[in-house]
Amino acid sequence: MFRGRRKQRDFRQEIEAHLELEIERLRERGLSAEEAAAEAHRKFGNMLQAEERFYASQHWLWLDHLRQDVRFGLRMALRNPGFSAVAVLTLALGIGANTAIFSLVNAVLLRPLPFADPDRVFSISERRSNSHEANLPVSGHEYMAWKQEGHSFAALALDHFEAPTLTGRGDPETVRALRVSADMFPVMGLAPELGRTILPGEDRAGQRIAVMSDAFWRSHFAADHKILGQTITLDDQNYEIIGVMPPMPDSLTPDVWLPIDLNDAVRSVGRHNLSVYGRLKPGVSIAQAQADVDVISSSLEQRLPKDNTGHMAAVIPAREDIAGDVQKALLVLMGAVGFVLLIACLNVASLLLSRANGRRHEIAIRKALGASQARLVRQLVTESMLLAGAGGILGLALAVWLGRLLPYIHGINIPLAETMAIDRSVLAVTTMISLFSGLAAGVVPALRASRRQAVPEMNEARTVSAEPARRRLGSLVVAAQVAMALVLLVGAGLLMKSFIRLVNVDRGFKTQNILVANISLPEPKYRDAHETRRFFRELLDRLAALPGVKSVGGTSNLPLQRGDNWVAITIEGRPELPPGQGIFAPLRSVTPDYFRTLGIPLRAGRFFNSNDARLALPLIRWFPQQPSPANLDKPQPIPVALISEAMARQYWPNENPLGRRFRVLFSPWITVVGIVGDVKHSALDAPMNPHVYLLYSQEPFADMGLAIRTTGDPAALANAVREQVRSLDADLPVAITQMDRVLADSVGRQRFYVVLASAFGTLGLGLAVVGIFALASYSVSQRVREIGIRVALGAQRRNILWMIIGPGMLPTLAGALIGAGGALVVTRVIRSFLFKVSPKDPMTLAAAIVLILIASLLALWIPTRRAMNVDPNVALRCE
Amino acid sequence: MLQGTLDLLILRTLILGAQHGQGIAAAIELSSQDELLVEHGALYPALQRLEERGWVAAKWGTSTNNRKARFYALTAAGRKQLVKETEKWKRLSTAIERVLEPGAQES
Repeated sequence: MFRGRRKQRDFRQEIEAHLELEIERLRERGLSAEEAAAEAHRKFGNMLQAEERFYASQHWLWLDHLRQDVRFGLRMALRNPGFSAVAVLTLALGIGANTAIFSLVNAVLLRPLPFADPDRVFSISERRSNSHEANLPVSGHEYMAWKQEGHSFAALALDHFEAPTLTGRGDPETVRALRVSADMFPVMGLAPELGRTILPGEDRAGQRIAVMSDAFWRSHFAADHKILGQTITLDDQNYEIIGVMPPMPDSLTPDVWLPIDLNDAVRSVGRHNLSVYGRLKPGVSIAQAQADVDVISSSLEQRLPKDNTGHMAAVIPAREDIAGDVQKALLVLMGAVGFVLLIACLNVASLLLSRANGRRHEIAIRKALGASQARLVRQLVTESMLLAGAGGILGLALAVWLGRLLPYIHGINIPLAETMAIDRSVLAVTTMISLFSGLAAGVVPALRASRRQAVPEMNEARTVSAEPARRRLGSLVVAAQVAMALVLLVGAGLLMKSFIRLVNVDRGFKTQNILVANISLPEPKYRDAHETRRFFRELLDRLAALPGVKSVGGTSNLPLQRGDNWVAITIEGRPELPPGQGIFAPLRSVTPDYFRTLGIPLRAGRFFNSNDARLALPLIRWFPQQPSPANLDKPQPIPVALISEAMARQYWPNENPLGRRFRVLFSPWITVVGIVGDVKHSALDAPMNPHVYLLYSQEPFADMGLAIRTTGDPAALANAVREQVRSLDADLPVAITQMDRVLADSVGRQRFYVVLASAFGTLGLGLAVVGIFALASYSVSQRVREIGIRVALGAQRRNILWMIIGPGMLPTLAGALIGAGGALVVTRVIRSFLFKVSPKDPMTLAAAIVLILIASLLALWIPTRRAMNVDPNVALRCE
Repeated sequence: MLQGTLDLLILRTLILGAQHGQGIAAAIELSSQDELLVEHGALYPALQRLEERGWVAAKWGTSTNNRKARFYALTAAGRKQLVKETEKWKRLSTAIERVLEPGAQES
């Protein structure tokens, strides 16, 4: 393309040479010098045109024009710094918000998972006919059946989460451990960064080996390369470090991988606490794999009906397993932030329209000088592209800043959100968004501005009132902005109302002034239920004696912290239920003061008391072959339980449950001695489930959550509590927080959505208000003369007020109407995120409309005042 | 003149040897017995186009009467193009002929 690029001068020389040669030839034919010259020129034709055509052929004209346009655009932008700043800032907000949300979506939903060939990695989880919950944990015997009878998976792995205590390296600490079968590493398809992984055959009892995550290796071993062969102590047992895995996102990796006891896991029929992941064989589709697993499920149902009736398995892509919960919300947020961008673009379009009007003269002159419409449009669009480009760069900076903010927002709980980054695809999307913004904002104003006839514009004196077409278009823009802003506001309002209802829902327990301490006793050291019970009794006594402590309660599982522990229940005197329809209820083991500490009310019967403590321990897993403690031959207190109101209603309807008995798994009969209030145990938006409470001194747990009610600030007691734990066992890690915090974190994700939705709503409203303000200001500035004349002819200030407010509010009203209709349709998509609020909630809609009307009135205030203060003397003289 | 015709004429003229613009114009006029009058102004952008496509190569030289002039010569690619264009042109003119004088072929 660039070969032999010639200079214009060279071309001209060639033409001159041509003319001389031609003249010479003609003179040889006998023409006079003048005649020959005239003839040569005549034959040549239009010399200028030839030169122009040569120029056009030599240059990429559009590049040339672009350079001119950019230079001119920059000049224009700098000449109107206020205008440019507003336009760039508006676009930056829109582009920045979109970039930030897209980078989140990219991190969570789009970027390939850090496995080899990640599209072939799936999870298999259980679905039950009698449960709404989608992904239930799997029992070991199911895994074994899939592995042995299935044909779809190249590797199928089992894992189980544990939280052992790390000791011997500074303060004791709870680590995240994943007990895995050896197949887990082929499923992930990742080679270790150092050493090796767990090999087939090593996933059995007594194998004390550990593979570390890269992050854990760096934080705890300073990335020491001589780590292999060293040991770490987890729950008082030494594990040999055999490898380090490559870096992975925090939400996809534990601290350590430990071998699972595969024999034990597989043996346990009916215990559902395992997760299964598989890598599909090449060429096998997910549908084939699902069909494969379905066949095995129904064969299991026939072979072992007691444990498998109604148990189906679902093959789910790894991405869905990880981020399925947040997918829809993120897409809705994308949609919302798209609206913000559209409002921003409309704003800039509106600004450009106003300015184009101010440039009528300039454009008319350009036209008169021969600029084609296409050329003018190109120049004007270049200007808006420059604005969008600047907005894009600023928006990117904004998105980077917002991304840095993310880790500081507590309890977002969106998997993979920590990997949010501005990468190449984010940059590409930002560029596309910026280009789109520049076009969306620039094309219509450019077309309109360039379409005008040149001559009348140049001759025209200022007209008395503003050009009606411009105002019509402007009103349309404002109406669209208001409509979209209203949809955003209604969406945000609904989410906010839902959130307020959620955090104020009757949760059945109190959270104020409660310190929470989670303690997990390592099994080898506290093997015996009696030792466990002794430890916690001692600790609770000591804590209760601390100054500032009102009461202390302990439970196997504090509300809103961990998942519930569901157990099978058999009620005395009832016929045995068919397989798959048995009663299951969550179970908690609590100390007598637990209910008082959390403020859970007694509805009937009595609470537990210290006289209920039994010698035979534990209740559920009690085996007669255990060594009998002393005095066991003496009469024992009977096993007792408290049940929740929901439990009483559901399983003893129209009956008094007090004194009735039931069995938990293989326990002796347990007598119901009291009914307590319902509690939101698993989540604030979960239903009040039936619930069973056993007494801690009858059924001790090694993991305990302690609730400590204090008279003053609970945080002040944290160190004292830690001190007491350490004085009993210096190797115990203790995780301390506050119940208020636990509550707040349990709705962290919802809060994040509300914050974002509100931010978008506010942004949309703000931009729409700027749009209304800009249109009204423009309209007033164009009508100064008209207003002056009217005032001179005796118009009252009241008339002028209506002259501006009336047409100013009209597009807002129209937009609000359209937006209200749109909101009723659009908010349906967030129905599943709403808690006890209808997407058609009339109060929210009304509030949003009122808000937008008030905001528009405020936006009109300044232009209206200016209109009312027009001095006819000044106004009429200024032309 | 038809689009592309000028290109063909230029290439055809250059097959006889390198020539400068004015010479090409004169040659076309001469060989067409002044039937085809080339507007000299159109010749140069056309030459430029051919040069860019690599069908002709140009360099400054001296004309027979010792004047500086830019000489154009046919390249190998240009030669090939000439064959192609000539065939195309012949097909076209035969076709036109058929339309204008139907039956001429049979007789």
